Amino acid sequence: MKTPMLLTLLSFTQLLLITILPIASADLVDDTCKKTPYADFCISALRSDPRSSTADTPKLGLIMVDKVDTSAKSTLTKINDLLGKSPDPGMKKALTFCKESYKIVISALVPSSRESLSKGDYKFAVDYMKGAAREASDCEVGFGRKSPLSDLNDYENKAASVASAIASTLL
Amino acid sequence: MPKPFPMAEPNPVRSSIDHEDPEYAPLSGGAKPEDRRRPTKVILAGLSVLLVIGMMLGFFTDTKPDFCTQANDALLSMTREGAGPRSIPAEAVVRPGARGVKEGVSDKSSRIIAGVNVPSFPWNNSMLSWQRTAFHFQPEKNWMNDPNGPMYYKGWYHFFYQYNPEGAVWGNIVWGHAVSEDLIHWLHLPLAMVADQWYDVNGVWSGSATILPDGQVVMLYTGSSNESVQLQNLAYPADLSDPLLVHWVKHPGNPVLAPPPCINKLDFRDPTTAWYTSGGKWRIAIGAKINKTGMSLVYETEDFKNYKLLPGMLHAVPGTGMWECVDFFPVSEDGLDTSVNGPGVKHVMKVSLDDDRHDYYSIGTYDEKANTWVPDNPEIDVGIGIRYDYGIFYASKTFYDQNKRRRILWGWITESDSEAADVQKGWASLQGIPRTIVLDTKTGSNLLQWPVEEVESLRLSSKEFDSIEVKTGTVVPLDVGTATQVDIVAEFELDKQALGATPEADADYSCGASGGASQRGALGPFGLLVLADDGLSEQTPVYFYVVKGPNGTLKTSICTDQLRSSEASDVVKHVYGSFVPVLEGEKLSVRIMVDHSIVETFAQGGRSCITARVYPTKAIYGAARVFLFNNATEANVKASLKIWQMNSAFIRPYSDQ
Repeated sequence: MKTPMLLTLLSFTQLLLITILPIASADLVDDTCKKTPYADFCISALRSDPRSSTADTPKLGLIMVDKVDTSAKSTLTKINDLLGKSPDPGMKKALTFCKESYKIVISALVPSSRESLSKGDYKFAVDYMKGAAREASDCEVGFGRKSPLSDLNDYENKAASVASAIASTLL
Repeated sequence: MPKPFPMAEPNPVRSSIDHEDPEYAPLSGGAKPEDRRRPTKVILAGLSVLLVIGMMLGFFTDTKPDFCTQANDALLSMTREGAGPRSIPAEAVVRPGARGVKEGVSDKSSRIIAGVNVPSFPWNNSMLSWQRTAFHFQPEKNWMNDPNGPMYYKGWYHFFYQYNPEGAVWGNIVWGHAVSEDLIHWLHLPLAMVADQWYDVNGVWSGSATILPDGQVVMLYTGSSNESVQLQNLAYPADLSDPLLVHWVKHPGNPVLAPPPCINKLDFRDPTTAWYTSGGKWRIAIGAKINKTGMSLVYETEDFKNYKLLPGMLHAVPGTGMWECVDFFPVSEDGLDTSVNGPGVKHVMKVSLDDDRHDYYSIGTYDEKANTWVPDNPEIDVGIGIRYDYGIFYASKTFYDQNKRRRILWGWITESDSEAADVQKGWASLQGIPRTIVLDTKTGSNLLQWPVEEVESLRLSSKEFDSIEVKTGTVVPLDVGTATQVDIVAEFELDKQALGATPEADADYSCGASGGASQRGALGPFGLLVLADDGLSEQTPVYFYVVKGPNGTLKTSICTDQLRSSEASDVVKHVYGSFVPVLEGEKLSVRIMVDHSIVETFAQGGRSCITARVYPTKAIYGAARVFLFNNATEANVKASLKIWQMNSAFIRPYSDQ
């Protein structure tokens, strides 16, 4: 009788799929990150978010945009902190410039990129995340050699560049 | 537990032929004596019978395969010679522009100077407010993108557009609306459609208008639904007796179209204007993609509410990616209504490629019966050949202007400065000056685009310059006063003796790969410097570059060079442009419209066009000048030109006064 054999086959296949699916998604993280300029950074950033194990590519992009957003908000807090400590004129000028840059990232570039990735018109996320990366590197350059925000700016630059690259793969 | 019958078989024919156990062939009579699972077998047999009956019914009622069934086969058979990543096509009568570096909308690769990132420019309000144009369509503030539903109705040209009411970046998209009696003097009206239905709550995206013979107006547009599915919807004017068409009604039966099963729900948008077939039905095209093959689907309808997806694709090109803003229209030396067809009528297929943000078109033949369009020259098929414009120009759309019997082209011109600057100045994007489109009957293989004649009503005073000799390595100032709003028409002639004496060049020229106007050649570059200050610290050269080929043939390029257009570093600085055909006996001619932060160039009567955004910091207001220049090494150039000061179009909100 074929039926019990088929049943067994079906159950086995089901079991196989359940085990394969998460592995397939983990592969998606690897595959996607390979196409970004900071692959290792991308992998560790995405894997740090539990959603990445079952995310499709647009959702991986959204996870990355979340990182950009969270980091930008932390950076803004630190900037306000430093501004409150009466910095010298050069430092104040650079900090003020950075404040404006990060405000734009949070208020304009992140929301548009989120909308772009979730609604399927990906080119805007590509451009706006590139823009966010530039804001971070511009902020850094403004300090010359004594930047108090190096780590944060570096993280932001990387995260935004990766987010842009992920959106690019969807075009 | 009985084995589940495979009801979801994709090919019902196969399941009955390949039935696993021949003992259980369908339609067989009794059960086997050893069989202990008789109820299951009966069920299985019964279902097989139903399946076979259904299959037979299907066979007799619909022998044509549907779109999705055919789609994958069609794609497999579509592999072209050397297909794969789009390669630069071979030489053609109209050689497409240099592709060079892939340009993003705000690609700032040129910002890295000497390996060091320089900080962005401290823009002040004076510099930023100068950037607003005087006679190009733009809303009073915020973000704009694609042109939508352009049409002429009851004495007014209507223009709708993708608009973000909340900021200077893309998002929260609704339909803006403006009207004009002459395509130039625009009056803003209230928003035509907002995101207030479940089927467009995530975005009232692009669409097109069709005016029916009985005077009805039908608007089809893409809505991004509450679940982010791209759906097509129908809207129509609330009151056809209102020439301003202020209020719009969304069809209660929306959406009228959802993505077919084989198309991703996020790759299905931008319905075209409909055309009427010889079979008495209307057809529309919608862009989509499967993997990396861009394509246009065609739907047929009689009432714009019920549609049938035709099998096959109007056209598809592997490797081009998503086709946005498909446009499909007949073309001749005159403007033609969208429904015109017949032997000898050429049709243009146009797509906006998501991949590289450029608009491509190709000329070919439409077979209405077969639902296919075939390019005249597959080497310059749509997406791999000719562009409408070699600068910034995207999501463009044409309409037939029945008032003046011409086809008009609208194109979205985005910013190429930083998003931060856009947010600071509170707005982003322009529309190009509407252009008439006709077939270039002299070459037969490209279109001609030219600013609508109505723009000439803005011309104020002019100055004419006749046969000015511009020697090699010189710059000639043109005394026209401030040059921020000017219309320039110029002709150039290379010195014949020098032309003859110059040896054959050893390389082709490509605007995008060149060093711009400062890279000297024997027979170029020469042309005009616009948005240039007296000290030439900022300048935007628009120039010709001629290269002598074998047998004395000349190849001409037209370029717009942004490399020294601004001292600011956070703006795009490319050299845009392309090869432009120059026929025997033709002088080199160019028209340049400068309107603050936009420079539009039309070479050889509109064979090649370049739109550039320029953001000077010094060459603004009274300091902006225009010059002639010739940076060639071997040949002097004679220039004759006329320059008009341009009035503002006073684009403003509509008011009854």
